[in-house]
Amino acid sequence: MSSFAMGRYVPYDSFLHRLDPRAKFFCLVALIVAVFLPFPTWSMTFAMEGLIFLLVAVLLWISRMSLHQLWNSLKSLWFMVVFLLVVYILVPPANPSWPAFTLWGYQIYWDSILESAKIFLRLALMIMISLILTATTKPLDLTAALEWYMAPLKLIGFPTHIVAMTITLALRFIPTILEDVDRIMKAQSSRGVDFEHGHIGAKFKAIISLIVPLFVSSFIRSDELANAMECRGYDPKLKRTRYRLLRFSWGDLANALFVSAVLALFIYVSVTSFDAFKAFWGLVLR
Amino acid sequence: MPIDFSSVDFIYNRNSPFQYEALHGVTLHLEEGKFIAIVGRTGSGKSTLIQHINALLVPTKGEVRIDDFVNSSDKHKRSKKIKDLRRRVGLVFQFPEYQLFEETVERDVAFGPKNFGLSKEDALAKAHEALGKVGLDSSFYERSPFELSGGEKRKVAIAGILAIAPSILIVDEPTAGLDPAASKDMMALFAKIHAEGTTILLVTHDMDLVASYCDEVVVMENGTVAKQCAPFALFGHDLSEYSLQNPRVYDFAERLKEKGLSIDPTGLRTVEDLAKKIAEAKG
Repeated sequence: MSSFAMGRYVPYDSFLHRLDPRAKFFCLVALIVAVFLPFPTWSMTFAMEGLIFLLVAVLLWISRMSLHQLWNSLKSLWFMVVFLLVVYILVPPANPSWPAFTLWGYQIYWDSILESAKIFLRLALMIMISLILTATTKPLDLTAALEWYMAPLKLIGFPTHIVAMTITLALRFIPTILEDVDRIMKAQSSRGVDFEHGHIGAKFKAIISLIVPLFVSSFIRSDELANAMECRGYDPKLKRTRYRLLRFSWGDLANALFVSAVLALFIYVSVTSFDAFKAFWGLVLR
Repeated sequence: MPIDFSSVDFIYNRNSPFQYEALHGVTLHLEEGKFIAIVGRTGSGKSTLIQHINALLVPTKGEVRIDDFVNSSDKHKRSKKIKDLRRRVGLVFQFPEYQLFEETVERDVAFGPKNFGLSKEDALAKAHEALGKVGLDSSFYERSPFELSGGEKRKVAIAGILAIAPSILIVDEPTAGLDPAASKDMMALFAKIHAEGTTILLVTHDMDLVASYCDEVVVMENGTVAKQCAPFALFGHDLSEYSLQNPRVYDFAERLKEKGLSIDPTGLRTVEDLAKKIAEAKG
C-alpha cells in the first residue's frame, strides 16, 4: 500500500492552485449544482452534462492531476453502476417512452439504461470536481474558506471557529493515520497476516489486527494533541488571528463571475425546459 | 540463510511530486549466523533496507535474494511464497508496542505462530516459550496487553516475533525509549538468541551496542552502503560524517593511550574488557 492517498493535496503551482480558496470553493460547488440540475429530454441532459465534462476535463488538465489516481477513484464506482443498471432494469420506469429490446420475455426500456448512465455520469463528475478541489487546495486554506462562508452563523452564536478547528485537525490527521495504517499493516504482515487473500474468517481477523492498534494509537495521539494545545494556551473562546491572510483578487472575482454565469445558464435551461435541439431543428427547417 | 542485495534501488511515491529515492544501487552480502549492525543517520535508508528482506517492500530496480527467495523488481522472477519467507525472517519494527491487539498477552504472542499454520495448542506452547525467553512469567499470560507498562508491552511484542522462531531476526532500534537496565536485558536476550544460531540484524544509532554485541557493521549513507566491515575496523575513524560516534569504551581507551598508558583500544567490547586491560597495563 502506498501512503499516496486519494484526495490528497498535491503541491504543484498551477492556476487552480493559486486561485483563492473561497472563490474555488464557490466555483466547484456551483459546478456540482449544475451537474445535478434536471433537464427536459435525454439529448439535452447528455449535452449539458457533456459540456460540464469538457469543463472538468480542462480543469483536470490545468490541475495536473494524475489520471492514474483519478482512474483508481472512479474504478470503485463500477459496482454501483452494475447495481443501478440491475435495479433500473428490474423496476420499469414510471413513464416508459422508448422500448429497447426484450430479454427472455422481459421488456427493457432505453429509459432505464440511460437513467443509470446519467446517475453514473453525475457521480463521476461530482467525484472529479471534489478531487480537483482537494488536490489543489491546502487543507488549511480549505478550512479557512469554510470558516469564511460560515461567518454569518456567528451572529446566532454558532461556534464557527471551533468547527473550523475540528475540520482542520481532522484533515491534518488523515495522512498521519494513513501512515499508521501502513506501519501497522506491515507489522502484522510480518506476523503472517495476509490482508489480500484468505477466507472471510481470516480476513475478519486481519482487519481486527489492524483496527484495534489503529484505535489505540489514534486515542493516544488525540490525547497528546489536546495536551500540546493546552500547554500552548489554546482557548477556543479567544479571538484568533491568522498568519496567512487570504486575498481576494480581481482574477478570483472574474472566475467566480464566469462560473456564476455558467450556473445561471444551466439553471435557465433547466427551469424553462429549453430544448436546444428542437430549437435548432426549428431554425433549420423553417 | 545468506542475504544478497544486487544493485537495489527503491523509490517512494514514484511519479508524483512526493517522489523520494530511499535506496540507490545497494549491493550487499550478509552472511548466515552473524550479529550484524546496520547504522547510519536518520533517513539514510536503514528501515527501507530491512523491509526488503521481509518482502514488505519490492525493489524499484534490482533484486534481493534471501536464501532461495527472490524479491525482484521483475514480476516474473519474484518468488510467490511470501508467507514462507516471513516465517523464516522475523522483523521487529521500531516501537513494536503498537502492533498489540489481542485480549490477552498469550493470545497476542500466539497470533504469529497461528498465522503460520500451527494449531492453537502448539501456538500457545510456542507463545509460552517465547514469553519465558523475554522474561515474562505465567502471571502475565492472562493479562490484557494494554494494561502493561511500556517496557513490558515491548517485551510482549518482541515475544510475538520470537514465537515464530525465525532463522533471521531483524530488530529496528529495540532499545529506543527503554531505561538502561531494560536495554541491557533486551540486548542480552538478542545475544542469547544469536548464540542459539539465529542471524541477527540490528538497526541502531548506538555504537556502544555495536561494539559490545556485533561482529559486522554496515554503514548506510544517503541510500547507499558507505562501509561494510568488522566493528573495530570502523572505530577510530572520524565517524561524524555519518552522524555517528565512536563507542565510549573505545574513546576512553584512546584517551588513556594519548596520556601515555600502553593500551590497545582494538577489541575492547565492554567496560569489563577495558578494566581488565587497564589492570594489565598497570601491572
